[in-house]
Amino acid sequence: MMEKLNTTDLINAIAEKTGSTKTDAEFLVKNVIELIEESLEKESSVKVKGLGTFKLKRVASRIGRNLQTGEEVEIPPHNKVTFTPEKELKELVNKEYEFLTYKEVEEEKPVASAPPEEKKEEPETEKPLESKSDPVKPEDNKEPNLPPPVPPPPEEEYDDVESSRRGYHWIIPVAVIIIAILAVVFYFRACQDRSDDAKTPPEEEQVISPVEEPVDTLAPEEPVVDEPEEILEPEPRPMPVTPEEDLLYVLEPGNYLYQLAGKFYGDSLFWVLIYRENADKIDDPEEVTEGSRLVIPKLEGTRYNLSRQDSMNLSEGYRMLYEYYMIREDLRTSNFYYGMVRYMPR
Amino acid sequence: MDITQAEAGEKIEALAGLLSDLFSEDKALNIQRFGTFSTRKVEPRKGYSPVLGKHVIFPPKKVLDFNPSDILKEKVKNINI
Repeated sequence: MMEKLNTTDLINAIAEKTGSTKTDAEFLVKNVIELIEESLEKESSVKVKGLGTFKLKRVASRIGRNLQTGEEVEIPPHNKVTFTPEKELKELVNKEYEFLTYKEVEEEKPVASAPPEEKKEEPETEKPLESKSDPVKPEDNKEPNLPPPVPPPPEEEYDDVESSRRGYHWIIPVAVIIIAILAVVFYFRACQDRSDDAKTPPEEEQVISPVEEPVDTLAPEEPVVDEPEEILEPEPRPMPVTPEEDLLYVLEPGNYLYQLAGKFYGDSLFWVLIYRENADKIDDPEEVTEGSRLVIPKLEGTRYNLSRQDSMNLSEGYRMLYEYYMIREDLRTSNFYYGMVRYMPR
Repeated sequence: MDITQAEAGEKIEALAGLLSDLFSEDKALNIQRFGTFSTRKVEPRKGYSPVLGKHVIFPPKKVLDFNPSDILKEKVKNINI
């Protein structure tokens, strides 16, 4: 059981420690406390060095219930006192546990395996555009009938960059040649039937309802790590289900924002978009309440080809989370700052 | 008690130091008419860390709470902030 001291004990302890009389010690305690109260009343906030900050917080009126009679009563708006200990004191109190850090969880849900992959992908999402879209793009311009066959190439390029990271440098020239050949082939043999065929699959997938099992999130992810041989297959691979327009999604138990982002955008890092859109409904981004109705905003561009507005929204989402975590003095704050800067349109 | 500002500062710091010592020793302190300071253990919990991109177990920790007395609560209730 925790030992509880009262004012007299405190006064005695001060007198003993500082060698002053009990009267002086009592005077000190009384004055300090009075001072804190006064400042609270006047300034609504007071910082005591070495201890922490006392602050008044406004509490809006709400409906409560009388526990005896069960009748509803309105609790009027009022202020409450909050206390935030200083960082040093916080650490001192937590000394016992300070060496502990996060422990990874072996997750039963298959979805948990997706995020680590995503981490690797993060820095690359924009690269494919600069590096090798050239062989595809000119053809695109000349042949307006051809848009459907184009979706696969970005993924192929994406694979290249991914694997080059791991040191397969020879793959880049090979892939460029293959893409160039494919582009030429597409250009010369452009026939309407084929393009129509290729057109249908992605549309079908967009119809998939949000009620689907989260397991499907994995499907769009796996091709990313596939071996480069896959490139040769011209058939379109499963694309992430990108919402055609803003969707309304009712959270199921066990849903996390990053899962939704994986499902709807194919990139769980885009969860900041969902957070941005629904920030007023989300108290804790790491623990969203089931049954909440969230709006899944659509992307103007695509996952690999973000429009300016998309980038702005992403940056904004990161900024909001940056502020959210900064207030809480969370160690991860800086990551959101980098996200914010990365997507800021230039 | 007539003291200089510096002396007052020293005294307050000494008081804060004493309080820190008490709290780090896991002792609760009730100051009459003001409120109660106490430490509380937060149990380890499962959560998702968006930065690590993983489900993790957050470690247990100890935190310091302040619970204002009814008197203090009543006093600040209806101040305009």
